[in-house]
Amino acid sequence: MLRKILVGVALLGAAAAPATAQRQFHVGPRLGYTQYAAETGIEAGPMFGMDAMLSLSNNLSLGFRFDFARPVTDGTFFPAEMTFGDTTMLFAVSQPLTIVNYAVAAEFSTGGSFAPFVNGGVGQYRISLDPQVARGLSVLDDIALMVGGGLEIQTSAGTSVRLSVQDIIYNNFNRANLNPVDARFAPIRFPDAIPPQPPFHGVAHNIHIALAFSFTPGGQ
Amino acid sequence: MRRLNRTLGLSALMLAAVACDDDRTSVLTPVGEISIGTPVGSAPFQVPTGTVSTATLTVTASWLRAVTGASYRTWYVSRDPVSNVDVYTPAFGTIIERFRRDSLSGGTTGTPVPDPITGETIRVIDTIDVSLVRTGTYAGTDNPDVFEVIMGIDSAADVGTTTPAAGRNAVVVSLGDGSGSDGMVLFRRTGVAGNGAMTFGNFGGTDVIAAANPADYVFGTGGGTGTGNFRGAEVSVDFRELRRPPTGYFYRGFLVDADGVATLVDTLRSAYNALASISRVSLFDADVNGQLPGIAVTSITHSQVRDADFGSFAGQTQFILTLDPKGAGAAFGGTVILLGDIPERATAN
Repeated sequence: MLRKILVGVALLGAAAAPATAQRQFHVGPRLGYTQYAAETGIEAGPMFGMDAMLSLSNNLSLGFRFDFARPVTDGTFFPAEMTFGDTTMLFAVSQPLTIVNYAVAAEFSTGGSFAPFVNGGVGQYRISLDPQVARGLSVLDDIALMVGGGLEIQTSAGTSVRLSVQDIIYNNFNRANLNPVDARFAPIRFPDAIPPQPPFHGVAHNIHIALAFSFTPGGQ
Repeated sequence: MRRLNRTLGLSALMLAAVACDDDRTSVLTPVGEISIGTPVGSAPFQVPTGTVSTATLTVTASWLRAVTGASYRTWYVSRDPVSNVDVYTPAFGTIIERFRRDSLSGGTTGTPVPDPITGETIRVIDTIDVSLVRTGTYAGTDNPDVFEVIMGIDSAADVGTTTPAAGRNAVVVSLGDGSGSDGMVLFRRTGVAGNGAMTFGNFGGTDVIAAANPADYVFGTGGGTGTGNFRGAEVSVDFRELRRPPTGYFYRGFLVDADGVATLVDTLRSAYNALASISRVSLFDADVNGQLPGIAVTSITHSQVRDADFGSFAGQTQFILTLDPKGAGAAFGGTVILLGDIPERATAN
């Protein structure tokens, strides 16, 4: 279903492009820092991305984006209490995650050497749990939306630097799926030594700040 | 081509930076200090006791401690065979406090009886407190020399009958202010051969005089188990299935050092709950308020005595849960219900 949506959006964008526009292909890496929504229980961390955009006109581009990150979960969201004889220990249990976002993206830019832009995308997020820590469920995925903007500075012919801020929206995100702690080890003796967090299931807004480079192969 | 190579090289560097993160190496992070646990079990306690003699309908009770604003009273309970309603009749008997005397403090006269604590033979002198005669109520006492109290002595003049034992279903000692809502603390169903020990405790939601139904009585005293945990400066003792305190009494916990000096930890509270309104609520009124968290008809399912910042446990040897009459001062001196030793490892903090 999601794949059909992505293909549909791409075809729609191509069909809507003016026939006279000069079409140029832009590609570039993006390195950013993502502050995940506090309710997700995912610690902030770096995120690598790659954008591939096709200019349909001087102001409108359409393409694909891809994000990759390896954050860790915040263990204080997932406490465990282990008792051995008369000794009880408390732990904050975290796990490394592999997060991949991919989406069809559209961007509107003012054009020029200093070009503010706004963009958005629709796609999917896919969170892979650590098989050495997590039990049962291994992958979480659902629809992701991206909305943001920034500034593009052209540094030479065919090369530019981009600063962007985006809200990467995870739909239907359930933090309980990240919990690696078996119910047997839920804190009982000291249930609030690690303050318990209310459950979260819903839409998570993750703020992504990035520095990107854009190249136009053979272009100007 | 050169630009594409540069792009790919830059991408690879960024990917490596994202993938190689030191934080990923540890998944179990210890939080705070380790906790040392200890079981907290039953103690040989001296809760109020009583016996009934139906020959004269006499109640002989012990350890009836003074309660602020309340007095002990004896009642006869009769059940109307037609309406099935219990009728409570006050027993206006003579109150006799019996003081314990031994050869050191009271001479050698009196009746030799076994000391209820040590078992040694002591001599007991009956002392009648004239001021208490025929008032029908007894204020209780914290005087340790009071061995027992004889109350509710029946007579034909008191109840208007020459056969005082006939038609009586139960004998009750209540505690309250006499306004009609006194709670039962001692109970015995008499029946045909009703002589014997009375039961001390909280009799659930039907223990209010004039509303009680003997068929519903569930008895019990003390009981319950606990687990103490000492973590850093925090002491937390969790209890399960404690008996509800009798009317006029409440539980609290102390730590006692090797010299016998007790330090109050806290009054018994309900167990932790993520819902703040029912978390660690004081159970001071668990005797009369059945709506408090964790209160069942005759028991407290989950409860806790806790001090998050008690300080050092050095020198402390025992945790003690006591049953105290309401109005008792801060000093340690209640009836010991449960106790547990503090592990040496915990006292190192």
